[in-house]
Amino acid sequence: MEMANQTDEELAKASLADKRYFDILVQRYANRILRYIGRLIGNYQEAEDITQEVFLKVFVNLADFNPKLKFSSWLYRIAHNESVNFIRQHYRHQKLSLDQYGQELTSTEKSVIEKIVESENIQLVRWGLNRLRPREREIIELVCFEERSYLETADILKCPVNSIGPTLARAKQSLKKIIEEKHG
Amino acid sequence: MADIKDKIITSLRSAVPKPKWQFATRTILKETVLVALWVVLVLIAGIVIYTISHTNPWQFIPLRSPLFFWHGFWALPWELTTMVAGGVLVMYYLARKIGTFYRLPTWLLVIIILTSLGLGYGLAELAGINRSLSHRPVIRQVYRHQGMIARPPARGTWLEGTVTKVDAQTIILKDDEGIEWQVELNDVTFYPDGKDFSIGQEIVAIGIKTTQNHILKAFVIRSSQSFDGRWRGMTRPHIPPAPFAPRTDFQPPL
Repeated sequence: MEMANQTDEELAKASLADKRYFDILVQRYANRILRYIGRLIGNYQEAEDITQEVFLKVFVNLADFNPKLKFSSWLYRIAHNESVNFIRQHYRHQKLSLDQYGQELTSTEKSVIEKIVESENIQLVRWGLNRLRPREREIIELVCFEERSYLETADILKCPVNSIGPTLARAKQSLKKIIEEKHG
Repeated sequence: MADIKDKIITSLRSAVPKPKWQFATRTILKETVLVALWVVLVLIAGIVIYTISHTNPWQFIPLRSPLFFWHGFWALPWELTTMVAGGVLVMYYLARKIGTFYRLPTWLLVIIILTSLGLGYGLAELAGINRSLSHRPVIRQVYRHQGMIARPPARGTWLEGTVTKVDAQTIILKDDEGIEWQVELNDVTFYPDGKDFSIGQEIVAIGIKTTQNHILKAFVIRSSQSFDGRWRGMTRPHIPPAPFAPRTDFQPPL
């Protein structure tokens, strides 16, 4: 119980001495990181493998954790880098498949109609996101989907904090325009 | 989805964190290299700024020239300025790699870089490093390679001589050493004292020496006059008042 109440940073520090502390971090972040990587690379089977690699890398390099950062920022940064590496190696010329997202999104416990409407809307947003510039898409993913603060997003993407807001606003405008064009 | 946590925990069973000293050593090495590179860049930039500021002809470009900035830019040795610009870009890249500098806005980072360059230059100037380094044979060779400003030996930083021939495109100028210079005129050449030159007139030409010997592409041609250094060559030579002489035509009133 005491372990579970500790902050991520305290757990990360304690994990160097006792691996059980790291298990709590895995419990806290595994699903979020899996979803994040899945959205970035568009393949949830591969995302599982990458997520495992990310946590392995984080654990092995735990002594390298910079206490100036939040643990989650560091974790997301490694996940982001691994995903980008994967995309560079495998997905350079491929676009995400809408069908694939359709399969992922039908697992919610809602009425059939709600599921269809929500699924179609999300698919549309996803379709639009795939047409944004990579940096704009990454910022939308982190700020809107992962609910990271601007500072955390800047730490994850290693970019100036003051560039996040304008890029996000620009990305939203572009997304809106892309979706409107699709419908109009 | 649910079993991803178990998969991760299982995969971590045999994993061991790397020791902290490895990362500490790597960080120290990396930051030492970055700081050393920074110092080297500041020194190079210091030499370049020193060379440019001590060899440019800006003080001879008339302030009233409509193309003052263009002439000033033209007078810059582009290799050296490219070197400084490249150095600033490398410094920007390095700064993004140090600690959490990447969080800073670009404009602030650029100000930090320029300030550090200025401070570094000032310190190197105070210590005499710029002067001694810029006179090293290699650096002098680089500067000679520029061939930017006509520098007849012992003649300062401009070309001064007597007009021996004038036509629409060129002026032939003979300097005090008897060397004949072909001064080429073009559309941007500025004539602060007028365009009418006569044979035998002494003029000053400021411009860019071409790779051919004794050819100067002029951007300012003016009559020969003294430069006092305060008005960037704009002041006319001091004309002493005529010696006092009593008027001979004076007629006292009757």
